[in-house]
Formats: sequence, C-alpha cells, structure tokens
Amino acid sequence: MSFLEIRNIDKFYSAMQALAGVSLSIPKGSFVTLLGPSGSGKTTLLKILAGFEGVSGGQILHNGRDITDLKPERRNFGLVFQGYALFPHMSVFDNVAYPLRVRRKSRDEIAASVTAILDLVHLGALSRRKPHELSGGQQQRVALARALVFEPDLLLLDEPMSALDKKLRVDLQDQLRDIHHRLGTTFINVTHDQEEAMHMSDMIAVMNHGRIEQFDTAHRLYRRPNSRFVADFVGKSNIFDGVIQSRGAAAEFVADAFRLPLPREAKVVSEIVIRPEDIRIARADCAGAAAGDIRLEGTVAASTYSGDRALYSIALPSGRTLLTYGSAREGALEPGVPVAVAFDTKDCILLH
Amino acid sequence: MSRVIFWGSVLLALAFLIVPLVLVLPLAFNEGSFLTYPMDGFSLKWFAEIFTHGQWTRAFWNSLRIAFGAMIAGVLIGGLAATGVMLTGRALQIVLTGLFVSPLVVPSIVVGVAFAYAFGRMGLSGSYWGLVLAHAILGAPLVFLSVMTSLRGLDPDLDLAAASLGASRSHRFWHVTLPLAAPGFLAGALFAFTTSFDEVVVALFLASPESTTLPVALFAGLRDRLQPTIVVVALLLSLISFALLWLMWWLQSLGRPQKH
Repeated sequence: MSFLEIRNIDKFYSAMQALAGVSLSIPKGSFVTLLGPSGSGKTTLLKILAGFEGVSGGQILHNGRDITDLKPERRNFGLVFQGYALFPHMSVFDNVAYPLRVRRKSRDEIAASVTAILDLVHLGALSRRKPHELSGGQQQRVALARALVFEPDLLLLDEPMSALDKKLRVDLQDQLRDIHHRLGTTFINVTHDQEEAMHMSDMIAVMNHGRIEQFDTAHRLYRRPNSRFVADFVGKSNIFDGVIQSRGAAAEFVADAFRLPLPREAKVVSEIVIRPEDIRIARADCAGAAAGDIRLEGTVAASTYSGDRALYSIALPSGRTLLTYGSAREGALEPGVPVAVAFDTKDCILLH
Repeated sequence: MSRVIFWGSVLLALAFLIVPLVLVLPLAFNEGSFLTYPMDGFSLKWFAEIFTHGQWTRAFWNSLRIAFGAMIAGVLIGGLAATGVMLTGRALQIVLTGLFVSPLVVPSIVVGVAFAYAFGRMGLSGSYWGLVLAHAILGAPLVFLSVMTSLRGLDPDLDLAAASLGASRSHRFWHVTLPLAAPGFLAGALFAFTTSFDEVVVALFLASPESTTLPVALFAGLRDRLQPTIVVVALLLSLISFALLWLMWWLQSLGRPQKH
C-alpha cells in the first residue's frame, strides 16, 4: 500500500469529461509533478486531491484510508495557490500563523513554528509586512510557508511559478527542491512547464485529455517516451512516421528520408523519435563531415543562436525539416548552407 | 468651446439641484413666523422652539431608535441573505437575488398599505417593533446589494485557502470573509439607517401619535402650521445626511485595496 493511491478517478463537468480513469501511486516523501497542456485535467486532479471538487467515479486512499469525500479542512494537505491567495488583511506572520491558530496551538508554539518556517524561506525579516507590500516571489514564499507550517501530510502546488519571471523561477525551483529535501514532505506540483517539471521532480505524470500518458522519472520520460504525445511534449524531438517492410527474417522501418533496420523484438513500430542532441551536423563541404549509421544531406532552413550552441532547423530533400543542435563557436551557420547530418540507429527511440 | 459647454452644464445642473435648498434654508433664522422673503431679522428662536417643544424632540428620538433598530435587523437579514446566496449555484443565485431585492421594486405606498393591514391584524400597528420590522424590510435589499458587491469582489481562492489550512466554514466566515467584506456590511448598515431615517410613506401608515417619526412630523407640520420650525428641522436633517454621506465615502475609501 503506497502513501497516496489514486484509483481510477473519473470526473465529468456536465457532458465534458475532465478526467478519465486516472490512477497513480505516489510514494511517501517523493516530489511528483503533474505535467500537461492546459485542459489536460492536471488542475482538476489537484482540486480533487485538495478536496475542492468531488469525483464522478474512483477513489483516493491516503495511507489506506478512503479520503475521496473528506472535506478539505479535514485532509491536512497544504496547498500553494497559483495566485498565492494570501489573506490581504493579515500580516505575513498572521498569514503563516493562521493554520496553527485554527489548530488551537499555544502562543509560544505558534511563534516558534512561524519563525522557523519563515527563516526556512528566508522571510524572517518581513514578518510584519502586509502581502501587498511584498514582491511576487516573496508572496509565493509566504504562501509556501503557510502551507508547510502545520506539517501537512502532503503539499499540493498549483502552478506556483507561473506568475514569476524566468530568472526568479529558476531560483525558486532550487529553493523548493531544497525545502523538499529538508522536510521530506510529499510534494505534488502541477505545471505546464516541462523544464520546471524535469528540474524539480522525482517522478512526472504526463497528462493529456484527462488521462495519464506516462508516469516515470524525468530521464525515462525523455529517453523512453511511450507515446508520440510524451515525446513531443517533453523536450524537443524529431518524429518520423513510416511503414514497416519485411526483408526475409529482418524488418525495416521505412520513413520518407531514411530506412532503419529494426531489432528483432520490435515488430510493431508506428513512429520513431530522434532527439536533436543525438544528431550531429557539419558543413557538407567539410572533409569527413558528420559520421553515423544514418547520414542525410540537407540545407540550413533556420537557426536560433543561444550563445553556448545553436538550434538548427535542417530542410531535407524530402521536404520535411529536422531539428538539431550544433556548436556555435564560430557563429551559427547561415540559412541556405548545405550540411550533412548523421545519427546512430541505437539513438532512435521506437514508439509502439 | 467644449470647456465652456462642460462648465456651463455643470453649473446649471448644480444650480437646479442646490438653489431651491439654498433659498429656503436661511428662513430657519427668520425672526418672523412666515416662510417669506424679505426676512424680518436674524433669530435662533425657532431652533430653541424645536429643542424645547416635546413633539419634535420625541419625533427625533423615535426616528433615531427606529432607524437603529431597522439598521440592525436590516444588516442581519440582508447580510445573511447575501452570504448565503453567494454559496448557491449560478441559476439559484439569480432567482434569490431577484427575490431579496424585490422590496425595492414594489412602490412604497403598496408596502405601506400591506403592512398597515397585516400589522393591524397582528396588533403591531403603531408600535415600535412594527415600524422597525417594516423599515428593516425596506433597508435589507440595500444591505444585501452592498454586501453582495463586497463578497463578489473577494478572491474565491481565499476561502479555499482557509479551508485547505484546516479552517471550518464558520471560522472562515468570521476570520476571513467578514473582515474582508466589512466595508460592504458598514456601507449597507448606513444605507439601511438613512433609508429608515428619511422614510415617510410607510411610517405614515404605521406610526401612531406616540411613535411618530421626524419625517412624518415634518409632513404633518407642513399641512397644519407652516412655520420656520419646519425649515429648521429640514436643515438639521440635511446636516445629518451630509454627515452620513461623508461617513459612507470614508468607509468606501477604507474598503479600496491599498496600492504599493
């Protein structure tokens, strides 16, 4: 029996199905992210976990106890809202003290706990301020402190970073991961930002159209996606459609640009995925050019220079384009330059 | 040119609203006993008459007591109604809002007749509680609308946040919803108070000689004895109204979210 068991949850809003048979087992102390585009059902699932929405079918078990119909105030789950939802009429201290006052803790106990948690989120000096006197990042940390101070069994985070700018977001991601390590509380985070998900989570549940597409570690999601949606949503990818042709005992995957011999066990392949960083690129007129099992010719269609490297879109003779990274030490290659690209067959990801 | 039109129309509108009042008010200080110009001289004797004459002071205290009672009852009815309606679904909310606001739409003469008959049968007619109840029902829709506006302006996540932090529904109401909607409750209370304090029609139907209110006494004075006392009462009423208006404005400025 795992810590939190989500069993076969369905959720309908009149005729619209928001969740379809969602099941997840969440281990105690893990940092899990629900990742998906808007409308994928991730926020609905979070609201159901928080107790704000009922289910149309299925169960949620917490340490083996059915909490599906338990009121939010009885769950002892912390929640950080997207808009933080700090009480505007209370100071930072009173906001953070609120859950403890609700629990009728003694004055000394409240002062000690609030001070400790505010120090943890580096806000000790601002405890007398009102929320509107704080920056967005500070408000976010107050919301986090308030949701953690009562030592909840589970912390839910509803797109906590979405209102912050990029630089601050990365800082807070580091802090959040650090706090997770220190406290050991189970975290469930909701986001549509796959970089954020990869950066912070132990496990990621990729959601689409109200279903869990894949629940796996970041590394396995990236290297072993089990569907076209996951391959496309997590990271950049080149996806090739094709048909399988048998050649005696062996089989080949025939895409428009190339043929790929298939390993014996992979007889049902609908698409193959190649990550841009697995493709090598060189100017076609260079001696040796790019080397690999499969070598293609093309021209640079577009390039995006980002300092450390450049992202190229390569136009192949077949008409489709291929994404790849290249070194940009001498500047990015100009559009129109003929190039050779190459990759190894072992780097191809087969989708079934 | 457009500035000339602007100021011209503003001044005209102001004159239309204020000149009659300004013309009448000096007569409160008239030495003579007629409401006519030119004044016979400056005197405060009509003020003295008001404060010594039992009829006016009694009417004033009646009005004040009734207005206070109506305000408290109106805030309870209207405030609780608004808080409850906010918890219902969208369709029910529209229906309930219509029902709670309906006393505003019904002509006050109809309300007056209805109460006069109903209270007559119940033995409430002419009593303090009858007037309080009737005025509370007239004031409650104003409280309802004012509190509704306040509650709608609240971020619904605040209540959810308090729930997720372990607070029961009543704890959430007393510690989160009520403090944040307080300006709405206060403004509603003032509306209810002024509504009752100024009300003539229903009071005419319900008030007995002992429980007569200031506006009713004023109305009667207008009919029986046209003396500067009436203008004095009108002046004092206007001052109270101004004070309440100012208080309202001040409360609203409190309710506005502060900027950085």
